[in-house]
Amino acid sequence: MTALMIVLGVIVFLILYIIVIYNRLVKLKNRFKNAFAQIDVQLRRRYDLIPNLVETAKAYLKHEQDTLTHVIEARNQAMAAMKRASSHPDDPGAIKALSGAEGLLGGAMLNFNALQEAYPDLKADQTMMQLSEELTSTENKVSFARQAYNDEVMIYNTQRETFPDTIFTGMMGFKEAELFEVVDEEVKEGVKVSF
Amino acid sequence: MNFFGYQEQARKNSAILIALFVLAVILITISVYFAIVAGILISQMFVDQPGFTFDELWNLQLFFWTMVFTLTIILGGSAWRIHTLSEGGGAAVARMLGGNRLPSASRNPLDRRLLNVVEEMAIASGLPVPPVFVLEQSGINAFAAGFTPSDVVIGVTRGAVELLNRDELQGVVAHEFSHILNGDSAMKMRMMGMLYGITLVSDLGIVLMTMKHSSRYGRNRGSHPGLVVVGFLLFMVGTIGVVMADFIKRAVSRQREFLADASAVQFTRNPSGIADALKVIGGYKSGSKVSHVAASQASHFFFGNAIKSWYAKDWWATHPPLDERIRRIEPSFKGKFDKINYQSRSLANTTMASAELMVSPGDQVAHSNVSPEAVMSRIGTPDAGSMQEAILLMAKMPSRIRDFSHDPYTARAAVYALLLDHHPQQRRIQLQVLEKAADPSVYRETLEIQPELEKLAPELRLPLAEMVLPALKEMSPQQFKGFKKAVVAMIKADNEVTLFEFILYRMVIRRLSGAFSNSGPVPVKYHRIEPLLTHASVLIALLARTGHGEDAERVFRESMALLKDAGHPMPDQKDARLSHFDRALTELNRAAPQVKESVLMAAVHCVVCNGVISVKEGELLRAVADGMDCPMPPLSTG
Repeated sequence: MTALMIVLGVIVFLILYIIVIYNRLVKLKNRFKNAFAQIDVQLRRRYDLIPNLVETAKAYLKHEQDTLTHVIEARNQAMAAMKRASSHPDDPGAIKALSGAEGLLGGAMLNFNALQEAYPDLKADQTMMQLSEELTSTENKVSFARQAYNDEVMIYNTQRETFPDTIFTGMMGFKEAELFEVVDEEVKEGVKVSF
Repeated sequence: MNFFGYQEQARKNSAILIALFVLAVILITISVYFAIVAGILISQMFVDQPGFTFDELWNLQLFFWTMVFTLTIILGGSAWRIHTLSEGGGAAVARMLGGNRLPSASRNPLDRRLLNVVEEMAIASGLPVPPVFVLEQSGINAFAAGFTPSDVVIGVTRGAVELLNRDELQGVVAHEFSHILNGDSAMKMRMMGMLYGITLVSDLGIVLMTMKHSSRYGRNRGSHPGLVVVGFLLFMVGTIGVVMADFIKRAVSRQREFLADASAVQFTRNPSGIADALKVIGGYKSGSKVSHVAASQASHFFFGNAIKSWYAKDWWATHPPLDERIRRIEPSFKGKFDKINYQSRSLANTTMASAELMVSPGDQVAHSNVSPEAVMSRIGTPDAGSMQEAILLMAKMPSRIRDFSHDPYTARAAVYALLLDHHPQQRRIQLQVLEKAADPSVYRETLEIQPELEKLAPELRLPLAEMVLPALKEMSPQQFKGFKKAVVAMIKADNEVTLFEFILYRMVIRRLSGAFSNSGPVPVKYHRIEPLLTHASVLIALLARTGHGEDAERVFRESMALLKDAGHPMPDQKDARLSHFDRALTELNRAAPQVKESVLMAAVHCVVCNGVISVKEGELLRAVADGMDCPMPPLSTG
């Protein structure tokens, strides 16, 4: 009789403890998934700005169509990657793909900016100046949002690997989350639009 | 009844809640005992195990263990839940229901409209603007959850965002704000924590029934028959708990729904807003349904019935029936609902939302009568006048500053710029400190917004401090640490803490700290004013000196007399340190609502008695009210 009670008690305790662990991880997972929404807002803004920028530049850069198409292509790819990542921020593959696409876009933007140096008229264009400034500010916001996201991912990953959580994480399907880092070395500091 | 009365009533409701909870626990313990006895008896038919017979229906030892077992589960479950809830605050409830925080920088027209409605409502009622969560549900529903103004969040379903027009949405949001102001949100948080333990027994039953068992009892799969039977019986008994939990919710929260509906009408001065929203729910095929596993746990938070269960007919549900609610607002309502077409309505709303992003302010409803009673009556019960004033204030806010305040990145710059001193010498020192403490790009943003903030009308400074909060709450804990450090460094830079710096610190950093590391509800420690008189005198003296100069001593006496205090000396000017003020507010916040009311009455008298409220006095008064968690709508100053 007492034995049954004790066994039952231990089982109950274990179940409750696992529930606690599970809930804690779900909470942290939701937090970093939520943090991605901020990146989403800022990246969307950035992807909206870039075509405007290119459109304005077109009038001046008639002979540089290649660079411009390259920027637009990179932007479209990055946008597709972002859409996938924003519906599954807990999928490491999607975040990695977005990091890569963002790196490429950053590189394309660098080329585009280098090109502007050779066209003083373009640099002096009012619309162009405004757009570039807004782009820089959006870049900063993106990296701030990314930092917030990475912080939350770190908290989640650390908890996931802490004993005793780590025993159950595999069973419960809590995968390691991916940090959102932009791969390209030069792009790390954000796109510099210099005038 | 006023704000303080409702707060007190909510506290009394908590007492009823505890009594019902104890009753439920006793009932469940007895039921669990008989369930276990029955389980053992039945299982003896499957497994040959001697030792227990019908004579032993009453077994003291078994009863004792059952009691220990049940109480551990229920009390442990409830304690754990209350703990996690006070740690996570309102956001924990929203996330549990599958809600996603709406980024305050969102540019989607429908999101923007919702954020604006919430912002206006918060400014109108003097609450810090709460973060908004969206539940991806097609039903039309909403909720407000949280213990204190620091951790309160508003949740709205996608269905409500898309199907309600601006007026209807405003009605629904006003209903939720009344819940916050009436103290219901805090009470519901406690209720949710407690009831969790009661419903846990049934969950446990389900787990025992479906568990795969170890090999000891032979080769049969599934749970041990004894455990299955015990599990099934626990589940049945647990259902008693679930039904009782619903009963408790109904008993405590149903009347408060009518109250919130009525307050929403008073708030918006637009009965059709909330009535129409209820009609849309009535005519919509998904109604106010929320399909989420956690919805039943949180059913009492919602605007409308979130779940339908087989035993919950209208008279038993957590919410009164729709047509009864509508008829209380609109007596002529016939009970006929028009069918709602999702596609056409949501399309119309998106178009409208894109067009109407800025509401044009109407004429100002002047609160010409600045009597202490008039000011007091508006605490926690904002009326259409407060709403109008908030919209006017928002219209005066330059759009660039608004944009700045909506983004976690630039909102920091707005706070830094607010802190900058007018005096060029001090400002230079502060800027030097900031340059070291903050990100270089944020430093640049600060310099950029600073000239605009300097031109900002002084009465807009506190509303701005309320507006930046939701965006700043989107920072990560690490980012918040850095931000807090920079703010403190700036305040301390010139070796002098001004009153405004202090107020801003309390309104922004205290609120944010409350959100980042929740400490849960503030327990009531003082039920009488006597032990608090010294603290009250610090506050009244500061207010008197700010507004009355020569007359300060006389006004101080008069105001203290309202607290039935004759002999308290006026604290010396030299002793008037802000740290004392800080302590005074912290202690006063632990008073029962009625005590807070009398202290605020004295404070308001002190400010209003000469018929003029200066901007500085107004700011200080609002900081005092905010420090005591009594939201005060913006005052007409002049």
